[in-house]
Amino acid sequence: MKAFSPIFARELSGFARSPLAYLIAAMLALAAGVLALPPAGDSGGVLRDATGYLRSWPWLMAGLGSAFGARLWARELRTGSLLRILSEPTPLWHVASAKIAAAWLAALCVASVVVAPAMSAMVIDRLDGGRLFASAVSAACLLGAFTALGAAASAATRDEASAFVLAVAAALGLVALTDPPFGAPAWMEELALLSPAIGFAAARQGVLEIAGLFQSLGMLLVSGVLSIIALEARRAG
Amino acid sequence: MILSVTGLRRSFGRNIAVDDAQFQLEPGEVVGITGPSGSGKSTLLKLLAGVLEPDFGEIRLLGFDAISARRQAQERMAFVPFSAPLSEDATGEKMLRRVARARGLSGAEARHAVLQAAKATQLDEGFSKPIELLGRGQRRRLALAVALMHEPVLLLLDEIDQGLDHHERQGMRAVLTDLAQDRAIVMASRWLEEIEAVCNRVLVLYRGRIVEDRRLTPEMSLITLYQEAMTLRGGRR
Repeated sequence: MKAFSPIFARELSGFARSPLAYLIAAMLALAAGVLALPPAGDSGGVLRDATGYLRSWPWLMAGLGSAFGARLWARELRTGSLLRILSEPTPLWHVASAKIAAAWLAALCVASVVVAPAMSAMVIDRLDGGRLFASAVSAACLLGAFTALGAAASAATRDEASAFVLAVAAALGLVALTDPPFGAPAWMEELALLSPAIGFAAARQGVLEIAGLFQSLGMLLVSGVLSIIALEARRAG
Repeated sequence: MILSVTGLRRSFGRNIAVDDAQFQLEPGEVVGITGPSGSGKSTLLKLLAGVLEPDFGEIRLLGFDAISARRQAQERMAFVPFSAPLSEDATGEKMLRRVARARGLSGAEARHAVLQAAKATQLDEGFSKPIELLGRGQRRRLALAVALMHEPVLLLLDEIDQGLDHHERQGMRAVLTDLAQDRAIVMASRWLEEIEAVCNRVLVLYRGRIVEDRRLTPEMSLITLYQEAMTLRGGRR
């Protein structure tokens, strides 16, 4: 894994230089603020709704992870540097894992803006700190899964926009599965067991389910493998 | 023998990009591949570099199968694609150091490799200036320096002279002539003057097939040879 750290550093510096990353951070901060402390109508104050806010985290992570992951291979394809990567003796899985890890870390830095409003809501709503901690850990794993999903979409498509649309639709679908509408068919509940967001309901209550965390990490691994398969398929054209 | 190519074929759908390519390469040979646009020059280089997989055929590098043992082959060769993007956020030196680290070099060994590559490509301002401020000639030299970091025995260059002005081309010719002392070079170019100035052998491609394979001598006119080859096949330059 000697190529891991230089590729990781290059990718991370790419995110730090990307204006889009800062725009996403600003949009996320705004959304997090509104979701955590929604205006309370005519009273001019804010609602105390930390529980509702925590419920929105998987949705926020789905959008954020997809946006960061969708950039990973699309940029290499656009600039032509994928040709150089494919001609290098470095195994593709080293490159893919370094890129996904960098995108995950960059997305985590951006996601940290959701913690401040959460803490405000927690204080106002007198929410148990354990619930916030468990939710944060579960959301961080979820973010990794969705970032890897975005990376797989970007390896399989030709441009960033298509990759983002594909990844965000899949990620939002996976989150929606864990909160089916009343009277939904039984197969939806069974399908929900495959969603990496399945453990988040327990995390919201302060319980960290190891199975739920593994489900997120499993999806991260599967998406990473799918990225490599999609890239290898480009050699066959 | 450094390289042996037998019966190489690659198609994209119904379009045959490279058809039954066959040639051998000895140490010290500098082979120019030329032909009209779309004749398969870049595809042939990508096949040799392991970026694309052939439909049929065999590539042997230093005696072993470069298709089934692709990574080992890639450790002994380097490919500079037509659009070889460079990390805009760094200086040439920083980028070369990053590549050295990715190749597992560190400390004095890495410093030595970086300086050697910079010297071999006569990288002047490209070494210390930010890459985003470099002209095309220095960028090409830097891309070449990156390719030299693992001391390849075979260099594959796709249109390395493209977009360079007269002065930059003269400089690039000198660099390539020096590099050819220690290794074999295969370069694709549309510019016959460049091939005549740098190469000692030429392959002319027409619709994916090698229609001429000649050693170049000072008495020989490459332009006449090329025109004859094209006229025989009803093609135009």
